[in-house]
Amino acid sequence: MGTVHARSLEPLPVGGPDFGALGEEAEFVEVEPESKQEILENKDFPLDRHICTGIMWQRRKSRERLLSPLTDLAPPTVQQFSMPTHSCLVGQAGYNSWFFFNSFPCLCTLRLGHQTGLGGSSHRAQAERWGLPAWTQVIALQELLASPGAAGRPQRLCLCQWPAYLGTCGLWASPTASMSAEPQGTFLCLRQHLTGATLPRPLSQVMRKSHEAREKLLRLGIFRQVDVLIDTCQGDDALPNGLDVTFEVTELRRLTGSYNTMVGNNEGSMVLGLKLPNLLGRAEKVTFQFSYGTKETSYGLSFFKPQPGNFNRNFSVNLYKVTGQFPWSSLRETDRGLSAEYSFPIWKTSHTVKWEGVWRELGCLSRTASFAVRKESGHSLKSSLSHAMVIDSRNSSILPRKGALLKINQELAGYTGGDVSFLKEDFELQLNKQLALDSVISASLWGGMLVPMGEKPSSIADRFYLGGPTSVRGFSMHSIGPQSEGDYLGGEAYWAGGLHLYTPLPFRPGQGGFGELFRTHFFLNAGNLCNLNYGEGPKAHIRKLAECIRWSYGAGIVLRLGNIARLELNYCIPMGVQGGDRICDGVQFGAGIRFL
Amino acid sequence: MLRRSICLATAEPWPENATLYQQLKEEQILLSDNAASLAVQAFLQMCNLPIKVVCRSNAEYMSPSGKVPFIHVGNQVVSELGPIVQFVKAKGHSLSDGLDEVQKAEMKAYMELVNNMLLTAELYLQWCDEATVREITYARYGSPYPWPLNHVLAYQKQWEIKRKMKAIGWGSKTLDQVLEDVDQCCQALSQRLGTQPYFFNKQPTELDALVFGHLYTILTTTDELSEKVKNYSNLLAFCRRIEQHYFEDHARGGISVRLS
Repeated sequence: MGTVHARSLEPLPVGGPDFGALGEEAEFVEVEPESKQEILENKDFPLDRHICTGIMWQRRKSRERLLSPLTDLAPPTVQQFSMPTHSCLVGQAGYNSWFFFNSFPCLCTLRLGHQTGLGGSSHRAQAERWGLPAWTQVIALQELLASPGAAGRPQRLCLCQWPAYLGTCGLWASPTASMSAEPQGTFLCLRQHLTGATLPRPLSQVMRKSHEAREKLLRLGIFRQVDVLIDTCQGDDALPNGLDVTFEVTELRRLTGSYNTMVGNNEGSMVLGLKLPNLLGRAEKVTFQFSYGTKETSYGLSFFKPQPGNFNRNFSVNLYKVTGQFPWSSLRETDRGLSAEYSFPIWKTSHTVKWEGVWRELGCLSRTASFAVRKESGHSLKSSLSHAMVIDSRNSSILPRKGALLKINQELAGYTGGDVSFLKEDFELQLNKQLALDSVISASLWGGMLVPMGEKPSSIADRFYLGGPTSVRGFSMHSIGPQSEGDYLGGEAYWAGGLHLYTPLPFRPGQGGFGELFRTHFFLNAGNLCNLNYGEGPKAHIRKLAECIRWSYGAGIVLRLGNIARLELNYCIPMGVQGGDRICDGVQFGAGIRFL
Repeated sequence: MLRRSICLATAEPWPENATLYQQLKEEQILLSDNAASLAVQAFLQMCNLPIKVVCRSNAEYMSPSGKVPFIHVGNQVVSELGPIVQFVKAKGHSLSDGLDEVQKAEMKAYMELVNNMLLTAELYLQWCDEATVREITYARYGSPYPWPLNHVLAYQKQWEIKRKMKAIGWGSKTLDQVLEDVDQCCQALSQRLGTQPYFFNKQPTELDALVFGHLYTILTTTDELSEKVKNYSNLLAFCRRIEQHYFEDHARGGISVRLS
């Protein structure tokens, strides 16, 4: 939970709008209007079921305590600036919106309460002087005062409301006459629905909603820190039974860079990374990574833009070059590609639609590569459209305790250009259930099929592979299925299933701390990979996939690495081994993100 | 690595299914590659070893050295005429066994001459002469690939060849100078050949195969270069002789264009 400094030490109110008497003196003064400021808060507008937000850029005497990096700066001085002759629209958002004016640490306050009526005439006059359209209703006018560190950037922000039926708010920033018309700094606007009721809400709900809002803000990836303070309304303009919820945010730096050197796999490389977390003010992210190694060079540039107010809808464009070496197939692959994808949620599912164009170059990894792999060398161009759907109700992606995951992915290549033409389908299903004694039983099923369209056979780079510490354990990496002279060629259809029982470590060493990261696990894996003859019917396909099943069982220890990866050390006994498969019976170590 | 593969090779006789890989004959293959492929085919015919020619659009990338042609014999893959000659010798077939040391040295010298002059001139004509590049080379080289890959690969190859030309000093030559060099090379070859049927009197050697491959391709596919070759009648007769003896007799249809 975020830092919620709830002022009341009494137990949570049973119900209703009674916030009780908060007798303590304010330790942090949130709203302290100074003489030079104008906070014109219109209390009489039809909030009704909605909550209005506004930005307040304050000079406060207790500021130093909250924003410690500024303590060594000179005491703030209020700057006088002339009334602007023009103002320009900085941004626009839905009715319940949060506004942030970036480049400086800023405060956002949220006021809730029950208000009625429309704006007063004084606000109207003010708005006209500022050159705002006549039909806007001024909700709050606030002058922003520049921080001492940022020279020449005074801004005036005015939060207005369009006529209610349009349901939008506008944020106007009026620069001083000496500046250009463009507002300085960046502007981020999110839509945050905090559904209101006609009555103010109990404190517990406010705290929960504030926490959710804080999580959403952190997910944007543009703030280093988000703190939440909830207090009763204070000051001259305090609303009866109102709460002040203040979000204090500190932004990340506009440009961050990283430089690493990596050594591994007989190769050393230098990796340079650049990140702009908030390029245009709406949490657009641009990342660039460049890796220069003794053997290979690779790079990736990506631009990511979420829809303002709805982070789950986002769009990203990637440009990349990656090289990979696959010793199990004696194959080397260099991909240079461009992809554009759009993600959106529908009810509980998350969908991604992607177009990808890749120039693939395949080559043999050594002179002893088999001729079947040598025949695949050369260049090809794949241009494909793909769609993925994910439903994930698990409580964690690594070692979940409950919930299920279903991923369905399809890819159609060849109809938007390129010379590779196929239809590829694959799915992943995982079910988890918690049992007695802190154990979890988990079942998973993977499957996929690749149908080449046209006369050309499928390429080794598109086919499926099976086997290894992350799929059917007990077999070497990708060493199941069709092979030629020891090089595994992959297959056009596969299925794999696993049944796991996770239990805490015996005798529970390190319980409650380090020991919680480990689990013992007992598993049973099975799978098959083959090429189908697409002329025959589905019965023949099922029969082909059901014969020569490889399976294995065993036990091991799993270590959880953060929320991203896991390490496994297993003792495996492979069974059903077909001629040509390479096994790894006995102890097998695996590290990865996605496990069967 | 080559020596080890030759040691392995001596164990087995020449199989029936030996295959030679080159680019697509009609649409893709270029002058220099065609010459090299024909030289290898002629050499194997002269050794009386059966070979099947298979055309694949990615032959250049399949080859272990990046150059065509290459042969797939048993489970060995060998590319380019020089290594193929060594490989075939290890299997017990050789055309130059009857030569003494001096003649062998001379043969090597003439093969170097052909590679340095004729082959380089062919590469120049293909990749550095703007007219040919625009009309013929770009279209042919990129023909198996979709847009935009065809342009990217052709441009990449041209840049590579031009860099190589600059390194050997041909970057600044004009087409006329190149034609002059070709003429001088043909003169040297013609003088060495004289009135003999083959370069080393009665029996053909790998030099004959190499010269035939290049001259035949030049005569049948180019205009300016073939004019230079046609000046030397004994070279024309030489090419016709080999064509009739080794390619028509076996009725393989390996050569699609006949000499006039």
